[in-house]
Amino acid sequence: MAFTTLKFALFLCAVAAGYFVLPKRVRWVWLLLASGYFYTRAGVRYVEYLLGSSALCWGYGWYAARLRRVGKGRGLKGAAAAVIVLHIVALIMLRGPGLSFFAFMAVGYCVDVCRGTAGPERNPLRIALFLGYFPHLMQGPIDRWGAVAPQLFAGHGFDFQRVRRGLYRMLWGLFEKLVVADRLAIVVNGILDSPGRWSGLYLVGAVVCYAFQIYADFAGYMDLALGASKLLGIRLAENFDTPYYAASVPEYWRRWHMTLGAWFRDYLYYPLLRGGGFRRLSKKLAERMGRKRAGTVCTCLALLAVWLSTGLWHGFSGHYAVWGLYYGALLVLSTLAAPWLGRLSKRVGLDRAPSFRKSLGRWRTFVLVLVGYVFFRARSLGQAGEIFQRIATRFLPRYNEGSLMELMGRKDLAVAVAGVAVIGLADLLRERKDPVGAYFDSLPAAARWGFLYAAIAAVLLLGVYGPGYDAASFLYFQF
Amino acid sequence: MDRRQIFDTLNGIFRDIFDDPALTVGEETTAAGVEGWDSLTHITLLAAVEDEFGITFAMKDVVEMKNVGDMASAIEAAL
Repeated sequence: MAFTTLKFALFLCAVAAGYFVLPKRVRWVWLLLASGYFYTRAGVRYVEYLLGSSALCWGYGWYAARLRRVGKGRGLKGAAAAVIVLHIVALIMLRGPGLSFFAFMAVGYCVDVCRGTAGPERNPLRIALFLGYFPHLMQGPIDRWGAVAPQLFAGHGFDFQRVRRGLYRMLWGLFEKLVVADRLAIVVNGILDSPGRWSGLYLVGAVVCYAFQIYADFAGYMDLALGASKLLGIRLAENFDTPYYAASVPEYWRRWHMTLGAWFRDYLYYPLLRGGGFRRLSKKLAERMGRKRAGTVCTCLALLAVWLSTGLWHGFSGHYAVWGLYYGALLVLSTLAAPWLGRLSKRVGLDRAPSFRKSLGRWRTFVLVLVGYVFFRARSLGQAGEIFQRIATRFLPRYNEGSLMELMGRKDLAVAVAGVAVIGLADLLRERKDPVGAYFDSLPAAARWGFLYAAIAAVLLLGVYGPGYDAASFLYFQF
Repeated sequence: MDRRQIFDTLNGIFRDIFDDPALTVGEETTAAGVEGWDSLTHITLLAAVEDEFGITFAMKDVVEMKNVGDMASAIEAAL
């Protein structure tokens, strides 16, 4: 049941109606039942995984509480490691789309219990709701127990303004997904699925389109998920912060898929660097090169390990591994080059022109991100290599080549470009922290309704629902 | 060691790690207010603080620190 279907709209109406009608103390139970129903639409196997994982997390919490009561905290880490391994094994065996987001939250919960920053929760059904809550179930965001659990069990009242904003956000998500992302997919798939037919110019254009397609697709899903949750009064974690306005690669990854980055930071990168192995390595290196340099070397090694893991999480294949190592290398270079770049910047006077410097940084970052997308979108390393090779050696189009009009008519192209411009403008306003919401609310009612009708009309009339339409085809659903 | 002494020592560490002799941190100083302080340098900074004070931060403290004030409180608790 994808978020862009009428079925989901009816489901959400029923869930919201039941939620606000029921007594406060049982509203979370209603959410659990609704999430269970939503989950069963993905297949019975997934329900067993949900129940099994919830039981495992509850069991770990029970065990942790018991150990702490008798003052034996030492077994906690070993038990947490066992829970993590079981989740990884289950993930590999089931290979179901969306399960990894679920596993991230389960592992995060257990590690937080181990660290003493969460729970343990005594009621296994509450854990099941946290893990299986339908808005964040299939593609995230990857929420933390401490932030979301109190909201899930609070039993929120009906608030017209909050519901209205939730619906606005969902409408925006539908626009991003159906009008922009699915339209760009026509060009992207047509060119990047068979790169041998196209010159470098078209391939570069397709990669640029892919950058906007994946953003509109994933951010569109997030807006639908967070908007749906907002209706019920539950605020989930944000996943995007105008990423294409980042002025450096480290900044880009603080703005793109933020909950995934935070998860890898808190549950892999920090434990890796603070674990026994890296501490011993750091001490040995510090004797030779000083504390600061030793810290830098260990940071770089940990970054490469974490980014390789991030790449392989997307898929066990060469092009994803290279994608991960590509970003790991960029982050390492950025760490090593930061002092040198700062001095160079002062020498050429760039520090006296901060706007120009920022603009330069943004374009540089966007180009680096586009290079990464070639690896990410390609079906294999070989195909990625073919794309780069054609860009380098056959850039200009030839007379007997395919044309863009084969894939998409002028009208669709214009809608795609306009859609990207609208998303870009919305991001620009958010980047400048302009109070878009307050401005919209201040408009006369006729103007507000005009915008809303235009947005609804755009989704209904310009949304891509063609013969190849697959409601479940959000890009990140495959991970 | 009182809190003022802790902050005096922290200032020395921050100036060394971030190569800024004029840098001064306070209770409310966050990563956003110090150029170069991100998750990549955070661990190097924490390792330097641990070495200087002869303490070890719990992972709970590492992930929950929101500002230098939290860091100073974690140092006080560990001393």
